[in-house]
Amino acid sequence: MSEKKKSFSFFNKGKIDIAFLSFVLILLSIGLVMLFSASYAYSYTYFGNSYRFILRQAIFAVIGVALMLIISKIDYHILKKFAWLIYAVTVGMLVLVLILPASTELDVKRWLAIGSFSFQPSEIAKFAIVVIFSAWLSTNAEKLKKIKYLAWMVLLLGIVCILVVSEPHLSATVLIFSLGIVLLIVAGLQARWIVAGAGLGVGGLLFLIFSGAISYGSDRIAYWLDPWADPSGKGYQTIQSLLAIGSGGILGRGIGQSRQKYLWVPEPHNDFIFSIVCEELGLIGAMVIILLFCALIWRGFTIAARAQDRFGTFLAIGLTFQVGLQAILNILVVTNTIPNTGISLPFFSYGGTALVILLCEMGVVLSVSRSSSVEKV
Amino acid sequence: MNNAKYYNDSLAYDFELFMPRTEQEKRAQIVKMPKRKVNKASQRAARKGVSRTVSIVMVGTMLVAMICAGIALRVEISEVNSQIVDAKNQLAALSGEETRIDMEIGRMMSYKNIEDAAKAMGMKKMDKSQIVYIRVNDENKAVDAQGNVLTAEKE
Amino acid sequence: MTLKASKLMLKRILIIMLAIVILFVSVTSIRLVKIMVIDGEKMQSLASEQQLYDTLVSAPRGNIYDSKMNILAKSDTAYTIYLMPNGIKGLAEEKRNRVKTTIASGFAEILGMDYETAYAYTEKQTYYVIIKKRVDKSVADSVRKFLSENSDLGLAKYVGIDETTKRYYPNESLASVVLGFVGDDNQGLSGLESYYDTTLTGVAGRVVAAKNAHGSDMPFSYQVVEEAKQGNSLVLTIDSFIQHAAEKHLEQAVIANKATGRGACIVMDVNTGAVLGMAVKGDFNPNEPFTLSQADQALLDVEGTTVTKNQLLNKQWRNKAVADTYEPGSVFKIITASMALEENVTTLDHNYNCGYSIYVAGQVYHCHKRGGHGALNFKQAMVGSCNPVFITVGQLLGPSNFSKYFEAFGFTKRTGIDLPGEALPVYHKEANMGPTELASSSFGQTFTVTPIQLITAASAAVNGGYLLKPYIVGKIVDENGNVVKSTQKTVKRQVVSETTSAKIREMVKAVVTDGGANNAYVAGYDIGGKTGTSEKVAQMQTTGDRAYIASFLGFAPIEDAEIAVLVMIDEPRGASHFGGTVAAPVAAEIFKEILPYLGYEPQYTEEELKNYAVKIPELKGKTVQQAKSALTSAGLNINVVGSGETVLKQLPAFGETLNKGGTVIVYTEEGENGKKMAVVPNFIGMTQSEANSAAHAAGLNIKYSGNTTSGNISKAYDQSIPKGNEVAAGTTVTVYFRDESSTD
Repeated sequence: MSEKKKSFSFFNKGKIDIAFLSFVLILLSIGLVMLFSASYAYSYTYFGNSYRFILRQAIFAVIGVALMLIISKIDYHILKKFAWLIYAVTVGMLVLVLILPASTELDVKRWLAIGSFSFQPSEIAKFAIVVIFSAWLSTNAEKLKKIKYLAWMVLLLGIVCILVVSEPHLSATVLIFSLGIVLLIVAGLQARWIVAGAGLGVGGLLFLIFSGAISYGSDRIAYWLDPWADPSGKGYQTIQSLLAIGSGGILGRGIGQSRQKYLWVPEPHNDFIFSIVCEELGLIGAMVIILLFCALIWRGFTIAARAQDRFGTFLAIGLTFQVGLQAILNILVVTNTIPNTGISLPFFSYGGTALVILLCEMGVVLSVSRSSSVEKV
Repeated sequence: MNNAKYYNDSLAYDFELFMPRTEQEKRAQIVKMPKRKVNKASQRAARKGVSRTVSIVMVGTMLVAMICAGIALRVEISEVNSQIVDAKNQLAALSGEETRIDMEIGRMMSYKNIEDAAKAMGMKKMDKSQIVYIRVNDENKAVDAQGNVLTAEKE
Repeated sequence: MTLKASKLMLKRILIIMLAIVILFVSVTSIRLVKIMVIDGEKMQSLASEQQLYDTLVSAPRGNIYDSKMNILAKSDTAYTIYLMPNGIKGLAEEKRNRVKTTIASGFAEILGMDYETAYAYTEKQTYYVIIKKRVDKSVADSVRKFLSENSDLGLAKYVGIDETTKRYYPNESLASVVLGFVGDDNQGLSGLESYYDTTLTGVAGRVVAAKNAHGSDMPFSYQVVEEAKQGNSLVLTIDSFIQHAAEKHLEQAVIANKATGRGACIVMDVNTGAVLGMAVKGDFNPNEPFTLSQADQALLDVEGTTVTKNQLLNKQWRNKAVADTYEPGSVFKIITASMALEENVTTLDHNYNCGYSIYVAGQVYHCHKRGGHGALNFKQAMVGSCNPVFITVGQLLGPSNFSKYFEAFGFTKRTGIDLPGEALPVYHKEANMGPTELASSSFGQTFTVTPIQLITAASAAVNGGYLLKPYIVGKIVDENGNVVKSTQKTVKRQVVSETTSAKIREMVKAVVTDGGANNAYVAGYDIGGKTGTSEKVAQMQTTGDRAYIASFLGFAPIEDAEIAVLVMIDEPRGASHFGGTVAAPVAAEIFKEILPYLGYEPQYTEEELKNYAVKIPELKGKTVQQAKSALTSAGLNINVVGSGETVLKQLPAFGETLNKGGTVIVYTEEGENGKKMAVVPNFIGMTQSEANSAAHAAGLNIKYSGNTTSGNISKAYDQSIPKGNEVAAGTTVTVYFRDESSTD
């Protein structure tokens, strides 16, 4: 039995969870390889250079892994100390994003740019919610029974959700909302509130969609149900994705052999990368990757269960759940099981900053794993 | 002092854990490990572990590298193919252009156009009597650098 | 605080994790199995459908070459510009208007249409409309550039460029009726394009390949390529130079003689049957076959006209040399004579008497010469084109012999030349040949034949008696130039003996030297032939209008007949309508150009040499005195302009030719005021000597062309520089003469 410390030191002792690290690295490697395969045709056509996407992603991956390993050595309790600061800064950035003029034609205000470096505050928001909830819930879980405190959490969550939804960034909102709910559930949220919350969530979602407050949401339902209604317009991306997936068969066409990536699937290196994965690796390959994500989720939750304290537990759960839910939603969108919401696939989709943030979060989970109080099984 | 192991999911906390420990108990908890032997063993184990990890990582990296190399080959094919397509298009365009120019030349050189243009310039058809034949009396000669005439060596 | 997770929490974690994992795996696996396994094949085939393209690669059409491999017709890539207006309809109002106006102005500028028409296209309620067909590459490129410049409007979604082929005829109207033209689908619609359509059309190829969303090839091995096989090409027997000469002079005659029925001319190799030139004037430009000539368009524009565009188009496309029949008139006498000599019913010096009229079965026939020819032998009858004599000869032959030879000469059937639309002759069958029919047939009236039949039969008469099959395609070659088929001379049969043939040659030579075809004379060559002026009886009967066809069939050199030229001018409405006046000079000009080209050197008689034009010596730099003596010894006169001592400039220039007695102007001073100008007088109708004086009086030099040996009987009918034009003094004007008294 190792001694528990009362105050924290900057660095943690203890071993990181090898299994979790392995899963992360395996998923990352596969993600890089598949990104390479999916992106080269598009990259060459539009940028004259087949390697543009993979090189950038690889660099960010290296940076991310390095940061992950470094962060895994840092005691995660530091986050608890700065939880409120993190939350405040995030809210500030979200407000800033709304105030500043839109940067893209789509009339969505999601990005903040600092020089040539741009990122989405909604990504940070996910992290912030996990941190702030974990911080509060780790000490005050029982108080949830009281409405006052519950309302307080809901308020914290609500502010962020409304800010994000106003961008509008529906998919991030859904993710953040779900994260909050899950953490609350784990903390001991009573069943009636779970139902109410779920109802509120679904109701709110439907309201927003059908009232047209989110302009791009309402058509998506129609084209989700029958993408062939507008094969060259709104249904195009979905159809191309389905064709790619279907072409994979059981064994897939083989790595590098996708046809759909040759400009048929729009932006195959982004949200829809999984369709190319299916086409090249087949049903078997896709299931393997899905199982890998499941393994990651399982291991993350195991780390959470073994964490030395609740803060760690909630952190691990929140961050793992975030990755898992994102992967699930992405795959469901790509397979047209749910309408398109604009969510990327962790470890796979192109996005340097998102990848680095993801790996840092994985680093936090690893840091939590160091502090497990039991010998590894 | 309890030597029993405590599991995370034990419902009853052993409140003894929270009792302030006496110095004696504290010291008793510190068990001195047999230093050298175990150190060596653990070091070897650690090194073995490290080398195992390293080899796994290296194998993994090589695997990834090989796969990437395979993809890179496909990339090469794809790029070259793109160039071929471009070149073919250019060829078709140019040969179409060539034909067009040939046609234009043919049109301009048609007997009718030549005759009309010549008439407009005031030219007339040449008469056979206008040809003057010149006889060149010199035979072909080969001259070397000094200006001496070379003749063929006769057998 | 360092509380660990409660057991309840851990339980919840477990439940949630299991729930997520199970849900995830099951939902996705069900979905993936559905898409990849159950619907797998359907998805794959949909994917293949959009990725693969299986197109026909159209085969290029074969080319048409002349006998020297000059290109007469060739296909090339062209482009069709089309618009998809329905796509524009769905746009938001502001964008829609912008798109429409941009497209309209773009079309107006690049395609040369007016703005309103272009705008109207964008308003059409259709999915697809063709804006312009068969534009060439530079126009297509301009359209492409225009589309990419306006890519922000996404114009490329509504405007498209399709590749097609276009047939080019670089020599424009040269041999237009022979070549024909093609329609929108590159199918031959007329002429050789139509007759040899199967040969010229290649075999389409097929390409199955994979393409990406931009339409370029994907590097996957689906490709199945069956190359398109280009159609075979035709190498004609037509020589562009000869064709051009024939067309040039024919056109000149059609215009000068105001021929309303157009004109036809055939140049044929007498010994092989190869057609060296076939011209029809009143023709068209096969690059724009549906465009009428100015004259025809004027006819159409007349108020209340009954003429339709289709009628005029069909008229201009018609190959008169092959598709129209006419009464041959006196030219047919060559044939009648051949029959008679072969059957020995008469000889060259057999004597006859022409008393102007002759009666056959109660019908009276007149000779064209008032008062008759009097006593003359058969040869002279040919020279004088005496109808009564030939009627007599016909009677001597009898209907059975006549019909036998008529058929032997090929007048009852088509010649089988490889051109479409060959007309069938209309003639009296032996059973229907009564004495009057026989009589009129003897001098070429009351039956009709095509020009190609006539020239083929007449060639048989002079080439030793062999009736050949005329042909216009000499070889068929494939895309690599290998000969696929070569046409051989085909002798259908021998109609008359060599002896008869020699006699005919003698007769036709006399017609040119002594008779009505004196306008066919060309210095330095022996030309034989026969003139004809036939009445268009049927037309006269229906419209009461007297109409004629003036024709002439000539051979050169007549000793060893090589080349035959038939000129036929339909309804000349100028000063004269006689074959000897209207058609013979055309043949003369043609022979004059093509005989030297074909390698026949002119051989001048003494007399011809005397009248021959002299070469002007070099006078520049000489003193005036020296120049004067040089010119005098050459037989020319001098006209000194300016007061200088040395000759600076001369007109006409050194090396040019001038008729003896012509004047050379020498300029001894610089400057434009030294340059004298002269006004060209109207020479039409003048005799040679009158024209000579007029030219001198005007300060011009004159060159004679055409019939210059008939002394003052020849009259000028055309001049190279129109009257009233102001030219430099001393310029040579070519004046064309013909004997207008020569008839038939």
